[in-house]
Amino acid sequence: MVRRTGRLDQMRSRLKLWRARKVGENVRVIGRIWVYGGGRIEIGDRVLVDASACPIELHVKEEAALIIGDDVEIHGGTSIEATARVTIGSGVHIGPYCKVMDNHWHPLRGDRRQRPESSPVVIGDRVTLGRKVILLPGVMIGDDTRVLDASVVSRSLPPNVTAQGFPSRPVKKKELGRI
Amino acid sequence: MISTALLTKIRQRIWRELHWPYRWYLRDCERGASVCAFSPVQVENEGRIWLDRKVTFVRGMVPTKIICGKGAEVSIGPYCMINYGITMRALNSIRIGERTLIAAFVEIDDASDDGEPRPIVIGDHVWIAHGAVISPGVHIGNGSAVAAGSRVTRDVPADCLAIGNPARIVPFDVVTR
Repeated sequence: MVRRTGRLDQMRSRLKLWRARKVGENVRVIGRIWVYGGGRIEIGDRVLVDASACPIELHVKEEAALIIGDDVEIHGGTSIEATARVTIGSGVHIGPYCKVMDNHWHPLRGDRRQRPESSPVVIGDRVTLGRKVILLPGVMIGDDTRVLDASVVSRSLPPNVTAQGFPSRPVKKKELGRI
Repeated sequence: MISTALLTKIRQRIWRELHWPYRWYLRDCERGASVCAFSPVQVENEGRIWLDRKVTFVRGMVPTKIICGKGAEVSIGPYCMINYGITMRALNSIRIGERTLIAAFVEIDDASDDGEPRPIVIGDHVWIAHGAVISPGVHIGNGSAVAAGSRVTRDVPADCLAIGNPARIVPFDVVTR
């Protein structure tokens, strides 16, 4: 799918993404995008960032990387936090109010002000995340997987399944008709 | 020689004080020393809201909303960090202990389906992660944690992790990570 955008629109989008190290062709940003930290951000071609409902946050720490592939669509209210590495494949659709993080920010026991070790998050190609999906650190999602609304992915998901719930598990083929 | 930790502390303190105009949003609340908001907070107060010293409202995309009904009470303990996009609605009472961390998009609502609001008590050093929902009448013990996206419907004892939808309660000794 080729999305045509006006030249002025593209220039504005590029200005909004001035913090990104690499921005592809035909990238479109609607609304506000907040970028924190000085890490490496790479954005592929034909990416649509639709923040018209609510701004989008990208936290990328120093020495961290956020790599977004081609044809990705990201909706408003999403926040992506990278302290090590977050990789988003091509053709991914991220719904509104999603949260992708690769660090828990606080340890479970002991002093909550310290930061635990981070573990990278990988999202495969053509993955669809619904509304309010939360991806916890260390998660890998296989290609063509669909994650339904308001589920929390705490373990890795295989390719080509539909997952739901918390902790999110692949839905069985019998139950698929009901969803 | 001033240590780096002290310098950071001084810098943080100055940064907090520079945000004094944001206290306008907290004008309906009773508040202690150095209560600080880094972004707009929507407060609808018909009861009593008490913010103890050094409560912080972190800056973010969605404003935090605190609704306090008639005769209701919200009290937030000292050194609490409250992230953005929180909905806190009290028709009876919500008490939050000291040094509690509340992440973004958490919902704390004490209005139950049967029409009678039941009080919510959250202890000290509790960590409530992103998008968790706390149901009415829930007590969360000291030092516990609520995992991201979980719905807490039962009481959580001290030093436990509440995880899942509806939340299972797992003591910290059993948790491997």
